[in-house]
Amino acid sequence: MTPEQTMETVFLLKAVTLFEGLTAQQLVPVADILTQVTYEEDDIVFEEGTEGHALFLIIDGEVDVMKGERKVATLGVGEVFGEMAVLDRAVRSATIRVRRDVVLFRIAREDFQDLLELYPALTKAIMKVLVRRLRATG
Amino acid sequence: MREKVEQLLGIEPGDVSVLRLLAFTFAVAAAAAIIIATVTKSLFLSNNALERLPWVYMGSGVFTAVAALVYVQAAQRLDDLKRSRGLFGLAIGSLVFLRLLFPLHEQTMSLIIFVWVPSMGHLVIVQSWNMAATMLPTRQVKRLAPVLAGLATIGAAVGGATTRLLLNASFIGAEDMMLVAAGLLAIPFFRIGRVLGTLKENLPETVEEVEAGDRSRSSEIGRGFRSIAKTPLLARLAGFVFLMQVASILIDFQFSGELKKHFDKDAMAAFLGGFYWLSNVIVLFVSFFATSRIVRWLGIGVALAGVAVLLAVGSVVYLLAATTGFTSAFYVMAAIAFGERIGQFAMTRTAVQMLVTPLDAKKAERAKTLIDGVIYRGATVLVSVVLLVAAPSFDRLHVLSPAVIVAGAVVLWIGLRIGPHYRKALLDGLRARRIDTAVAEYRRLGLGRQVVDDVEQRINQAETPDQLRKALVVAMELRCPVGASTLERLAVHEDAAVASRALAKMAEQHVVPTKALMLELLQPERPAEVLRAALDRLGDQHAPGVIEAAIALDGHPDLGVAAMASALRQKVYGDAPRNAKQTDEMSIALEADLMSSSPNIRARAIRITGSFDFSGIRGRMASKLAETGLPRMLDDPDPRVRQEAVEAMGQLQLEAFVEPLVAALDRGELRPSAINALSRYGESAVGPISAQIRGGKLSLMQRKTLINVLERMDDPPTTLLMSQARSRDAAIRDHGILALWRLTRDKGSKTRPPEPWLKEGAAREIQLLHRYKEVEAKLGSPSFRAEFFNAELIAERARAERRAFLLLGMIYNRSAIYRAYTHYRSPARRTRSNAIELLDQHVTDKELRPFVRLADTDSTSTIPPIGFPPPGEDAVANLLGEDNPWLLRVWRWSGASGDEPAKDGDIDLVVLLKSVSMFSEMSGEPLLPVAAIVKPSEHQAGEIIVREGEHGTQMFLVVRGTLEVLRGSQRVATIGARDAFGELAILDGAPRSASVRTVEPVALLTIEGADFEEQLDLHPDLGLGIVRMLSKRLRQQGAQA
Repeated sequence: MTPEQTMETVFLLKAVTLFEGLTAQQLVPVADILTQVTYEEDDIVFEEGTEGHALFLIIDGEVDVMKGERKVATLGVGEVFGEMAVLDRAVRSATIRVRRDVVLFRIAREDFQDLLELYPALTKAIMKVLVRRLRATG
Repeated sequence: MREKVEQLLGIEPGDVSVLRLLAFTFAVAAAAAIIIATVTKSLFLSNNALERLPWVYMGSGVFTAVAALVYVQAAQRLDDLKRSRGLFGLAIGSLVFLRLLFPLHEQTMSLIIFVWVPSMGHLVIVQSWNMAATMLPTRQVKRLAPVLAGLATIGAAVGGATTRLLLNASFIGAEDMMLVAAGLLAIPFFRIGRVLGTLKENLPETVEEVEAGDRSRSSEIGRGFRSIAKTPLLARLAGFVFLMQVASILIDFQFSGELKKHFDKDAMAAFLGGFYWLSNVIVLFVSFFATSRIVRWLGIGVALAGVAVLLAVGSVVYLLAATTGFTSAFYVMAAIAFGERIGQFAMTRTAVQMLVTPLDAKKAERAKTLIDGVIYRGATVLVSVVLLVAAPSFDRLHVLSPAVIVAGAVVLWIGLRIGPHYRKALLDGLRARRIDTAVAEYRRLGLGRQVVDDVEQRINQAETPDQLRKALVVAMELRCPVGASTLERLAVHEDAAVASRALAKMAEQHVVPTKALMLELLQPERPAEVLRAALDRLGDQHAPGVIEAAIALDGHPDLGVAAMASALRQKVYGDAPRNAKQTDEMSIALEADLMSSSPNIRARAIRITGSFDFSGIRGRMASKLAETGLPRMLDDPDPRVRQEAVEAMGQLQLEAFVEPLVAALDRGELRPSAINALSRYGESAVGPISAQIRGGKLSLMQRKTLINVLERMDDPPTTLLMSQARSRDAAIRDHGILALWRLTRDKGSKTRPPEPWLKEGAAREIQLLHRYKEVEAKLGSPSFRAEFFNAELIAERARAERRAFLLLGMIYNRSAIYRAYTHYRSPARRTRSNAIELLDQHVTDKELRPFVRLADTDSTSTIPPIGFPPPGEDAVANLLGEDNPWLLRVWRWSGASGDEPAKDGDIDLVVLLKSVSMFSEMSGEPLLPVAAIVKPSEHQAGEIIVREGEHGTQMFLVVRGTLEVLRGSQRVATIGARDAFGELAILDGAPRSASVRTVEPVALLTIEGADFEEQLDLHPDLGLGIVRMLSKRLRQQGAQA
């Protein structure tokens, strides 16, 4: 990744709620471990019940969270999904279908666990995301 | 007996089942291959003239190469089972078919058989090896390869003996042996499904999701060759195999020539019989008893290169013998050929198998087949052509020797250099975990001009205040210089956040704002945030107009602005005190302000004190005031005043403040600002802080925090961190070692402790691990308390392991050891195995090697006893020693020693906390800090504990009594002992979703959100445990929905 690309990514990460507590300096290594992926409308990012190897950050577009045929939620720019299977190594709890063409950042499971160990602020941020979800569904 | 054999062969009990599955396939395939070899040779020789032999060698070589290419194509299209079945089936079918056609035209058929059948035999052997090499974990292959090679040798010997017996009995002709071989191959053909099934079950390989989109359309062969070219390990392996084969064939040719010179027909056969018998027996012994040891002791590179050395040295001797006639060239050549055969079969082939195991299974299989089939055969063909062209006479066989010497030398060179590539393949095998390297890479690159330009461009092109803010924050965080004119333009931006950030950035870059800018900024109507930032920049500005404008802000509604302006007023007009009386007056006035009943005035007085300049008479006065006044303010009833006091101390940075600031570290609300204050001290605080750590009776938290503070300094005191990393207290050691690890990562090797020190530390952790293992073995009957102890022991062991890994990482290759650490507990066996193999590759010191065995938990072999106190009445307590106060406490509490369980309120609390779902997944020790912040309370019946809709950050745990949950006035649930409520509120403080009222008198434990948050900061384990729990709960909730 060239320095410009890294910077571009750092700026994009600044918009992601999960990384609120991290400085640009801390985000530089994060920028280097993620890969950018794009999906078109109606693509499936991953399916319920499959093994999870990565979590995703939405940089552009929207995705639907599906349980079976039922839509549970819609996620947009700055939001994160796929973190659960990454955290507890269980299978994906929902299917993610693209609602509007999306650009995603993908972080592999091991890399994410490294990040959590390095940055307690990230642990807190992910805690907040999870609590919000728990409240929303419970 | 069985154990003895296992120990002798260097295999582990877990390997036996795998061996049982594979042994038969290997032995049978090897037997069939030998039968095929003898049959084809004899059929050919009896039906054809000898001159044809080299040509047919070439034809066979080419054909096998083609067969290998076809196989590679098939390998990607068919699954393992279909491919293996297909191959064995084809071999069986063609053997039977050719046997049936044989009588039609024996001469032609013998040619066809010679070309076709050995290539089948070759592929069968390759496939058997691939199965082992690609489907078993690396460590296991390393252990089993020599044993499997040995089994194959036994198979070959049995095959040869069978041929001889059957043909001697003259029931059947040589051609009928093809049917025998087909019959042998039928056994693996039927068993292969079960073998593959079981092997796969043992190996839950994870497949990356992204791989699906990565399917290239180019041919598999092309990919195979490309991956050989691109993977340094495979490229070197290919070169090795090629040159080794060139050398082998040349030796074989020379040997054949010498044989022909030396013997007549019958004597030659007798000699060869003995030659093969003896060499096979030696191969068997070597591969059973020596190969795995040699590989383990000397490394894979030496194992590979060994034969090359033998060939090169032998050829030198042969050359001398042939030219000087000093000794018989024949015996020299026979010795070389003998050694070559043993070395190749017992060592080289095995080492080659081991070498490819860390690679991705598909890639390895593809490349291996190409190397064995095409490159190996290519060497055969090439040498055959050269021999046909050169046609050396019997008398001048030694002219070939220089070629052997050169090939041997190059092979030696490759072998000795292959180690790093093997380790790299292991690293790559653990998938790209780039975070460590990414950080290093970034540091290496530094901030290039491009980044600086990019950031500035973003600032200039920003359209919204939000974009500007973000760009400025990034510029600050990355310390990218931004042009002064740009900053001045932004300093008067209408958005307060943009303006104040621009000012802060100016401060960071030491850009002095112009007078015009300052006058424009210091207007009372500007947002307080901007005014404060502007006043902060005033230090060097003495332009009269500016100072006036600033002083005019005294009395500004914003306390901070007012305080700063007032401090300035004092600095400018109060500059006068030239006599002691005035000094005292000012001092008395400030002291009075510090005692004022209004918190606002107290805070302001602190701010004024904090912004003093300490030069001159005024400074001395202020410093005296500050030294006595500020620490007192830490006990002020108003929290804001306390914070101001800590901040002022950080600003003044007097040595006298270190102690009160360290004391403040134990107070949750003050800790973050106290850490900041201490960090601002810079180097001047290293001495006092070190003294505190060394001498003071500090709490664990204070120690940890101070270590963190030291770690953040530009030039951290490594020796102090080292003393912490050697502490008797495991928790402090944890922190000290981690601090050193981070330090060496961030600040480079100059901060690295000396190697003997690191080794001693690692050895100590390893010894501790041994002790834990012994304690585990002594655990008696399972009881609730004993189980709790066991769980704690496991957690403690994990921490000791981590310390050992970190220390080893500082001694050896940091990123390799770190990767090994993050993967060695992986549920995927291959990943785990690669991780341990990586550790095995890097940890070279003898005294640290036991760690590899400890980490390799497949190994259930007993650990060598080390000098511990003999098991007395409290052997476990002795084993745990004083290093483990917590474990020892739990041990006494558990009563597992047979003694009366000791009373321990903290542990009881922890056990109680574990009944809350939020903490249920965590081990006990991380919960100690939570137990410390728990507050007990008693309540009467009918009391409302939480009210629906109210904000609250407390969590409650019921010790005794019953409560009811009310939505509106309707009871929705009841809560009893060991239940918890308000768990989520502790994390986010959202409004309560229901009320909770006591039904009878209850006893509760309360945890305050703020206290808890603080613990989260200090104990990352706690945070991770909770995140895991939340995700689990979310999942369960999803499942119910």
